[in-house]
Amino acid sequence: MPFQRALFAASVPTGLQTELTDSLTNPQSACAALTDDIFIGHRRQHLYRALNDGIGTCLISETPEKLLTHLSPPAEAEGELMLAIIAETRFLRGRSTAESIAHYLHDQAIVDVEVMQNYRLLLQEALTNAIEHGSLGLSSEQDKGADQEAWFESYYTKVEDLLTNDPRGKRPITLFCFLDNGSLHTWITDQGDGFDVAQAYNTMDSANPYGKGLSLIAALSDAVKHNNGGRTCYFKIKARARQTGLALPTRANVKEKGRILIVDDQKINRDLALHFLKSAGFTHLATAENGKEALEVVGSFQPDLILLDIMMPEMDGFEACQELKSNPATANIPVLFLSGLTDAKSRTQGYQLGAVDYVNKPIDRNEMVARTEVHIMNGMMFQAMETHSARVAEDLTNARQFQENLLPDQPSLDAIEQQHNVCIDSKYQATEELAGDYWSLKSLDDDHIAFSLADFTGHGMLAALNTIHLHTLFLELESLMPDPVAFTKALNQRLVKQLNVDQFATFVYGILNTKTGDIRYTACGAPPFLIIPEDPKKTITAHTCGGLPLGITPADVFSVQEQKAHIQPGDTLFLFSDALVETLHKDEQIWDDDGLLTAANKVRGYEGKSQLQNILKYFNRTANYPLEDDLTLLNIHFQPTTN
Amino acid sequence: MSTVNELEPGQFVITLEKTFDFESHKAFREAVKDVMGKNPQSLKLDFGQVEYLDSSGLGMLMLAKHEADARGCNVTISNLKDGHARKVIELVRFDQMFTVEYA
Repeated sequence: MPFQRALFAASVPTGLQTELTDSLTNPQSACAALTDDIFIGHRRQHLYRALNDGIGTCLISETPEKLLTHLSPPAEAEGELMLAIIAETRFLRGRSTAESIAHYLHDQAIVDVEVMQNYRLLLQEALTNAIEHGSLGLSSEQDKGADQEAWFESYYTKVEDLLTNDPRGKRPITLFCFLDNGSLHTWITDQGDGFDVAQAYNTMDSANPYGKGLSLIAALSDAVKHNNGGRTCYFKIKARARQTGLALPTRANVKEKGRILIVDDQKINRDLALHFLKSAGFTHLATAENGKEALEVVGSFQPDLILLDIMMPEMDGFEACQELKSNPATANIPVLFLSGLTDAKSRTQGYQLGAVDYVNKPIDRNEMVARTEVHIMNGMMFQAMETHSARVAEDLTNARQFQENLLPDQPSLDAIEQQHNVCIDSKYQATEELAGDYWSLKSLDDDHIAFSLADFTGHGMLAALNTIHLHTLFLELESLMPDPVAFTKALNQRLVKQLNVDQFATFVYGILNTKTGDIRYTACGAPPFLIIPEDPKKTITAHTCGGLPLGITPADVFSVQEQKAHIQPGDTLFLFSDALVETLHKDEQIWDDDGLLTAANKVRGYEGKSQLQNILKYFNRTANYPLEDDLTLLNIHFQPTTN
Repeated sequence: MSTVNELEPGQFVITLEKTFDFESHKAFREAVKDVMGKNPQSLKLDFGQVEYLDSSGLGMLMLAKHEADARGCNVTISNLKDGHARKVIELVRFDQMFTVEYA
């Protein structure tokens, strides 16, 4: 598809020149993004900022009017415009500009990492040529003398000097990058004096101004070409797009890969359909003479679409369609009826049998080809989505496994139980594949265990990533764990930096002295924890855990106090995430904290040392599943010392 | 749906539904975006009907506050009744971060 100049006409807003001049003469506006598509700036950093913001068309100049005349891309450019930079030379630097552009293309999922590295080198060479030898007209051909280092130093001082102080630094350089047929085509044009292209190519490896750069460009790219008296350097490389999610089919895929079975008892009709489809570019075609034969062919030919006549001997189209739809192996193949039976009743019958479309005979060539394309395209899209969702499901399963591995495993819990004479039970249940809850239990020394429960905003992927981050913070800040306030403050400080403004975590962290039963804890907006005495006559106590959640307030505003609680031998410490008290039950009510206390009281006398299992059983009787939030429960039974 | 009303020029009210959670995300963000585009001086979030509020809801409150702060617009949680939503807001100390008007 030839490149349309109109693209630029459309993306340059009316009155751009005036706006440009205004924005650049106004000292208040250091730079301006006038539209989502075009970025204008007058400092080198603006170019990098534009690329960072994902804006691929950048004008970098103090006098943009002059640059506007260079907006036209190369006449031979085809495909889709990926990037356009029109900048005064002094705003470009071979290395850093190339790096930004390559990263931009990678961020836009146009190239994968390997191509990006390659492309970056290519750009660096070509841009440096354009800047130093093109715009500035410098030559590196002279005898460098004995002290090469000194020569290079003076050379680069000269480059910087010319860029800043010489009018040549204001010569525009344009860079256009197009994507076509899976290749990335790049044109870099300077306004310098050019060079003798033929000679340069003949002596590519010898020491001429373009020598080294040119041979490197030739080696790295699939093709290189200089036009315009050496002022334009063109090169091309395979783009190999980074895979992001769905690989959707294109029209070319449809014709190249689409498999079509034509079923008609009349040879002339079969030949006609074959001819239409072949001349439209389809290659995988097969025919059958009636419904019965069609069913035999389907298994081996594996069509993406069946064009089915209705009135046929042996087995008619309706019956064949019914058979196809009743067999799970073929039920998903779209069927398009081609028939002279144009009455509403026949058409309705066709659709009722599961056909996707209906084309009347005599066949209109364009109509048939167009409908064929549409249905094959739909089928391919469906398949692409199925493949994609299978991949996502697999990723999620792996991610879930990974997330569960962050929680204390059985051997480490067994070790804590032995060392501290406690009995631990836990429950961790994600509402989606991944959870936003996190809990931990760790032995600090022979007398202390640290416990925590965190609940990040929302659930799913983002919340899960946050739990992973929290886990790494636990490892990093391990030395602070004996001091609940210092540890909590440090966690908050890290999370404020990391989390988006609408994300945070409610959190409770405590240290249990397993000799005395004293608990020191900090709380950040979490649900209370319960201490459930062994003696049923004693009341269950709820210890409130209000406070500012982690990750909202910066360190100078954040405050948290150490609180105290105490647990007797035989009692149970019970922590839970809010799903336990905020889940809607069959009676349309949530438990809330009071409901939980009632439930905990009711099940207190039940067998077993784990209050968790008793409470959970009671909860499950009436809770509406699936739960709407992640559920985490932690039960620490503090056993009387045996010795 | 979160409904937006402009009482006087620059004075906005977003009325929230019975449950303010993950499901309300899209509608609420659109409502906030709508208000932020209209040069707001104050924004009231009417909690009169809200009975249930979860952490996603709290996240959305933070987001609204963040965007409003950037425009010098004051956010008020208004009409807050006794009950679950109020308990949650007080639990996480949002009553110190927002202006709260109780029903």
